[in-house]
Amino acid sequence: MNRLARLTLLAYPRAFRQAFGQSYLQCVADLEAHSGRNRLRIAGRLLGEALTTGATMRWENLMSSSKLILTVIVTIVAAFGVLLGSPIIALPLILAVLVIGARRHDQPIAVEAVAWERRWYRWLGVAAVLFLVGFAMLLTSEDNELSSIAWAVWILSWLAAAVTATVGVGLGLGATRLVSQRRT
Amino acid sequence: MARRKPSPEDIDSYLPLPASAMHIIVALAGGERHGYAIMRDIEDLSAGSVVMGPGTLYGSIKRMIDQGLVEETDERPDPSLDDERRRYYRLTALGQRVGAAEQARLAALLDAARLRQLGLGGLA
Repeated sequence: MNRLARLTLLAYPRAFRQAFGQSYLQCVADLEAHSGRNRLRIAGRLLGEALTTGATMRWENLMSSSKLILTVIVTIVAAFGVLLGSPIIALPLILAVLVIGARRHDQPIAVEAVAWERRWYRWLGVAAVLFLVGFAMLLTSEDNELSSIAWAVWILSWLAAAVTATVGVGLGLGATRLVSQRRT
Repeated sequence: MARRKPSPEDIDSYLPLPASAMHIIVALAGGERHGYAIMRDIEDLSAGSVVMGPGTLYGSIKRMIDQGLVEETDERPDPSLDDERRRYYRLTALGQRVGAAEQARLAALLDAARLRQLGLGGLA
């Protein structure tokens, strides 16, 4: 049973295993020793929970760390939309990024969520750099005429700057809220 | 509709509590307990209708610790009387307040059900 318990524990995120793995195993041992249930029933419950609770926790864990990935994907798609001559496609995608950035998880995996929110200043730093890249393209243009490549770089960098700045502000607000919650 | 992020300044933002969290709060209202004891208590209090496995239990405890409703106690029982690997949990002051608020919410719901004679064929 201990082996099965260790196996089902793998279905849960690493942060959970590190924090509660020993307690989980001890609890299974207690169940086996004291509950009077047969081992098959306990094994069924462990497997069922691994498939449902474990999967749910992994999904929540993934969602708390995938904001960056989603943001990058949406930015690239929006940029391609603009480059292909359909700037209107950027609007719903930028809105999607705002939603992704602003979305709060009801039940975050706390350690990782806190780590992400502490990095808000990096997002703002990246946004500043991207803005400067776009600005540099404008400065180097001759007679206010941008070549197609320069125009693409300019629009991409400012678009990405807007997105990363928005996410940075969102994370910064989240970090401020966390600090105020801890003080109380 | 998106649920508000729970905030200690606004107890209602924690409500309604997930059933598993309320069961754990009720179990811990009787004093600090380790995981297996919480599990047994929940089963006993619900007359066997709620059986929580270790994954659900510790998943809920983790969330409740993150939200400040439950904390692990520093004290360990005498190792000769208990396994040292067991970790004990207790309600925080916030957890007690949230539990009381959920109790009031459920009581109001039950009152409404009684008023409409739900248990006396009100739906018939």
